[in-house]
Amino acid sequence: MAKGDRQAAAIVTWTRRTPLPNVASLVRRLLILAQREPLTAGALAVMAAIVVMAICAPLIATHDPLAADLRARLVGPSFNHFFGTDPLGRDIFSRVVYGARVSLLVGFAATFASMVLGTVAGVLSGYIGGAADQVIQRLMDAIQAIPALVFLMLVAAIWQQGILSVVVVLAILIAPYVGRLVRGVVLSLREEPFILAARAMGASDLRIMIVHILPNVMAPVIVAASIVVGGAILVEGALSFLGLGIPPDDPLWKTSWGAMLRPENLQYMQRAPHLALFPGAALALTVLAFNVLGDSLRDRLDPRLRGALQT
Amino acid sequence: MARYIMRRGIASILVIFLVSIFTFLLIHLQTGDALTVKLRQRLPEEQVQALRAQLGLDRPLWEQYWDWLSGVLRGDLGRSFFREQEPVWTRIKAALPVTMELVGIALVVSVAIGVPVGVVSAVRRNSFLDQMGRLFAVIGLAVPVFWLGTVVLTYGGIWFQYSPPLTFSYFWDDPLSNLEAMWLPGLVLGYNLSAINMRITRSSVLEVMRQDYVRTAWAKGLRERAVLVRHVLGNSLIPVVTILGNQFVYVVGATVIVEFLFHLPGIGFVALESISTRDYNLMQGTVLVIGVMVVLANFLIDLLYARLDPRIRLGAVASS
Repeated sequence: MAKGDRQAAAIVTWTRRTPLPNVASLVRRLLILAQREPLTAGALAVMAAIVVMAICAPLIATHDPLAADLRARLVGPSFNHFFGTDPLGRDIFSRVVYGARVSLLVGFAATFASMVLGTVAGVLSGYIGGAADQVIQRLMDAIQAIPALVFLMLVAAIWQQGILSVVVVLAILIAPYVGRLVRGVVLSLREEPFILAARAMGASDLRIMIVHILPNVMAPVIVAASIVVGGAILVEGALSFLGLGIPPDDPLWKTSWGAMLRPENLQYMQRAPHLALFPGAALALTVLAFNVLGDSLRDRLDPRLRGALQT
Repeated sequence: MARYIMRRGIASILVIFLVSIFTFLLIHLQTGDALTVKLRQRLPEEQVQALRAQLGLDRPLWEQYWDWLSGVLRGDLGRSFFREQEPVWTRIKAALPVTMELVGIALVVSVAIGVPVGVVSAVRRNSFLDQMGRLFAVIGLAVPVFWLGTVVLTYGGIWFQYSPPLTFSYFWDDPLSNLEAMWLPGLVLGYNLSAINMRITRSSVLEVMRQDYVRTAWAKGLRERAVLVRHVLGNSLIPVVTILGNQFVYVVGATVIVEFLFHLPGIGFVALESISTRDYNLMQGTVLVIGVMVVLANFLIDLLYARLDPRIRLGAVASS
């Protein structure tokens, strides 16, 4: 069986295996997973907790994440403030809860957009070849030559600072990684008998790309995407940490985990290490969960890719 | 081999050229007009026009680009808006060694930790050591550098009364005080990178150990050490070299954070400063130099890769 077909088949079985909304069977499956792959199950639990936190933030937060209380500055963790308070007396637990929204939104949106961009570029580059391939490849090289963080700093300083520009720019910066992967798959697909057959039957290039090539590159793209999410979240954190991403008192998004670690807090951290610990741990745990799930998805969908793609 | 080098060289020059266009457009499509808008609020129209003419903002974009590029080719990156209009290149020249040293330390640390852990993990697959090694890598990939740096500074201060030195000296001026400032940030960056190295090494060693020639080596009755050192290690390190390029981009980006946290006057620090003071010429120059550094490093890695992999050296594989 051709490699592409195998990948397509893997996706089909994967979707078929996905349980119907039957609670009892879902629970049983999760229990089996927990027994066989405790790490994956743990990551799944962490992820579920973070998604719930992001969606139900107003219900879970115990305080207003932006309300300063100067009488309760830098209080350590307690029953009233689970994670303590920051130098302005804001409740860190509530801020961590709201911060999940930014991280998840940036992670998912940037990854999804980069998948679309990268797949289009990769399919065009691999299928058409020739001069178009060279141009697209050199463009991808050029994008990859500037560190993501530096590029984002530039955009934040000159164009616009905020969540939308972070998502758009991250999508452009991640796209080459996806694009290269897709290009490789397309190159090997191009000479497959079923593509040649389609061409012999008079299918147009556009039809071949959409109907025959696209479904076959989806599996590796999904795997790559699952691995990229964590990296996207980390870059947003770094940008907000440098003060060029989401501000620590954004009226709409409240705050980001990176912004909570802003270095102007460094002077207080030795007195109140909880300032540094909780937001950073939330960020690391989220990225950890995404990475572990990504690895497990990769092992399931495509054992050949093991270790091949790193971000 | 010569053909391969030529092709990579030409591609690299093309990429540098593209990077310069990116950088230029990113800054000039916006700032020219932003500047005018700012000025119009304060100055009469004729003066604004005069200033625009003086700064060359009234000319077509490609002409401005050409001016800048020809300056760059002559080694003139323009002048900073501040600091008595110090040439941008002077500033960058002072910062480059700091960043290169930091990147060097980080890469050495990451290889020194990542490769041995990866090899042990692969050779003793599924053992307790392997589990520990993989845990180490998974955590290393998830922990953000800026958090690791913050935590190191916080607890370093609490437990060891550590604080980064306030003054900085170059290695050739005062090696000891230089290293005193450098070792901790280098370690933080290096740990962060080592996780990737460990994973690549592990999967690559596993891959190589499945090869027929390794089985032959076992069958000949060679000792484990001989098999590993003579047959496995060399080939399994090739992927580690290939991803060094990706790592280099990443680590240069991460130096911004580390230099900022540990007060090191490197390129990342200059980049951040140019952005917070809106010093456009300095910004443009810094980003271009970072891009050139990355492309050059990738070119060198390609050469190294060609030396290591006979399939490329002998031209058996058409590279793209």
